[in-house]
Amino acid sequence: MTVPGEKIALFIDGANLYATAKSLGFDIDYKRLLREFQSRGYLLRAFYYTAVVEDQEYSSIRPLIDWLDYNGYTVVTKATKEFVDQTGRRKVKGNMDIELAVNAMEIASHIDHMVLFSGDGDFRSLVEAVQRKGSGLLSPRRYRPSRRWLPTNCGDRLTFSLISPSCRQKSAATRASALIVRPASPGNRASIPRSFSNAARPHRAPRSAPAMKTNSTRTETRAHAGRRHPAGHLIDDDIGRDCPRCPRLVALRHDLREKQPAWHNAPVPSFGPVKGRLLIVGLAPGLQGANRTGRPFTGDYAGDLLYATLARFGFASGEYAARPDDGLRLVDTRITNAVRCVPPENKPAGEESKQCRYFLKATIAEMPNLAALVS
Amino acid sequence: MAALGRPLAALPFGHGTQHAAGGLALFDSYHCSRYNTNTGVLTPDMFREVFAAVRRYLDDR
Repeated sequence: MTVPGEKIALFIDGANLYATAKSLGFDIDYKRLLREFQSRGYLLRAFYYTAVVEDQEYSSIRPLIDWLDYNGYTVVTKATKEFVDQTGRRKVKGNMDIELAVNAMEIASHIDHMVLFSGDGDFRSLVEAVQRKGSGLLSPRRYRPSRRWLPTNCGDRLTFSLISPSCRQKSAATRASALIVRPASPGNRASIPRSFSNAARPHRAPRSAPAMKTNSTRTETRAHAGRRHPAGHLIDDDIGRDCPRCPRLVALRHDLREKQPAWHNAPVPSFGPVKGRLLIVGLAPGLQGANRTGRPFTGDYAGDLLYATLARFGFASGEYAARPDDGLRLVDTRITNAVRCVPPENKPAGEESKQCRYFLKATIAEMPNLAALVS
Repeated sequence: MAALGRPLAALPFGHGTQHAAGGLALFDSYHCSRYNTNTGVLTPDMFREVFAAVRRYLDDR
């Protein structure tokens, strides 16, 4: 997962992890947790976030906080607030999500891996923001348990191992989750996105746990439209022919397949060498252009001007004949579309651009020599 | 633009404009559709200028 020398930062949502471990009935060996990540790369910081009840003489969490503080963790705490709500019930408030998010954003450009220990689905937007921090080209992936992560046992003193197959069978609903995110930076833009998220459902905190907040939101991981590349990352043409993301475009696609069975009528893959330095990003396939022929800008007027211009400046060779089999080759250049399916009236909706950005990012990320972009 | 993780407003569009973002050079162009060329929004010469600029940029690197 990590390469020696890569910088790692851990973010532990204390209340959430504590509650999950407790409900699973095992202890977390924080010393070993630290060692584990120190052996995987350069552990820059290990943040532990929790709120503490200040006015009590004895707090069950205090010994843990002190220990963590002395043993290499950066403990971030704040005092809980206590108040009585309208119905007269005493409530304790102490949410550390903002602190965690701010630290994560500050450190994101300095690290290669961020490991978030939380089952709280609210962090999804943070994870996405961290990924955008660099060149922002990677997307979260569902965590796939790998052998290296698994513990040797899952008895009472289970050490670091949030994901254990046998434990999972025992209590499928009470898994902790770890989100591992690799922030993008210009330097690793072309590398394989190694980010995972384990979609898991944190268990509701037991009453005795000092959990300030453990909601039962699931970390939703969108079902990817494309196939998964063996190496784990999405490549440009992984979109396939039946991407389900945009209902409006799917409807038009089915309609067109009936009316024009000879046409391409599917997402249009990018055209040109992956190693090209130039990427041209069109808006969306034209109805009778790329949507018909299956090659970007091919078959309608827009292609006449584009390919003639490209040939003139040495970005294309061969003769453009408005057909995908005309033998035209792109030189040092690749052409893609921001939205890969033909939209009604050639106008993609904002949401459709957003949905398809996932694939545009993959296209950009897999081009190692990319230097210029025309849109 | 958004795919590069940059706010749209940070890089205002203009035909023939060149921006730098995330180590990449971005060149803006009107779409080479028949609608744009027929209405004179984009002339073939204007379109060529964009690719001439890209060519110069890549050759000078």
